[in-house]
Amino acid sequence: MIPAAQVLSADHDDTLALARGGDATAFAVLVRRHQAMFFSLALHVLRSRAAAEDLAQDVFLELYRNLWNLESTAHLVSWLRRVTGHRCIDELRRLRHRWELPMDEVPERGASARPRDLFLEGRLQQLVARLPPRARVVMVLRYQEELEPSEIADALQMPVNTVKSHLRRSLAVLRAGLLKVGQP
Amino acid sequence: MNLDHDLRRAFTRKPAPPGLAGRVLARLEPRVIVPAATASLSPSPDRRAVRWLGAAAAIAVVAIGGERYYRQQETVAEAARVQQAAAARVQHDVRLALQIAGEKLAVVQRRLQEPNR
Repeated sequence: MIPAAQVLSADHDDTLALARGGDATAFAVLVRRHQAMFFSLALHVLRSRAAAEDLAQDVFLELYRNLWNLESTAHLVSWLRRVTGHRCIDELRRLRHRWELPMDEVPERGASARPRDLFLEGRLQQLVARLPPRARVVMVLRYQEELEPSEIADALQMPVNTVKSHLRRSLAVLRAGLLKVGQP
Repeated sequence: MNLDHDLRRAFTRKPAPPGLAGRVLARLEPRVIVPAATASLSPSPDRRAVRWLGAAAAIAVVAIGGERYYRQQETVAEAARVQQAAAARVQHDVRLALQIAGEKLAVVQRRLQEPNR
């Protein structure tokens, strides 16, 4: 019996092949399939829905121009991660730390049995928004997409040890930031 | 407090705004992406114009090339005619010279054969 993941992957590769052949419907399917991942990544990093949508649109337009170069769905996802990550870093540098923009409240994917501490979540987002651009993208890839350091290193084209170092330092900064809030 | 867990919750994936895919497609150039089923059946006006221009250019090249080829062939034929005429003239001159020389020789021979004179 063929595993479900393999069937899904073959189906996704077929869509990619159709999009590469110029099929607009197939390209729209690709965009819809991946838009949440990359819009959300941009939103968490840039903290502005408008900026995140602009960036996501630009990334998908660039994806269209590079479709001929992508051999599989895995390759496509890796390409999208790399381009979105680098564009987020560039945009942050361009904006020169305009990161204190309030996040719009949007319904989130999935629900958990544990009651949510919205104050804590907001505080963590603020603390991550104060990190340098590269560290911020590393943190979002780690905690939104739950990527391993090696996968983040691959996406951002940096050494694994640099990724680990970013994660270690960022977590230390977050712990210290949370302790400050807890103090009177 | 479990920081890893809280970070995962703080950074859960957010849904994309409705219509994002449509806005991306709208930004693609109409010439670049067309539905595959109609792509081969109805070429865009631009592509049609390019085809007509290509056909016109090909016709112009063939016409100019043909005209030049015809002229060149005519020049070659004229040169051959001139050459042939010159050769005929030379042949005629040589024949005339031989005829004159032959007549002169005949006169000399006749005089030599008249000893009594």
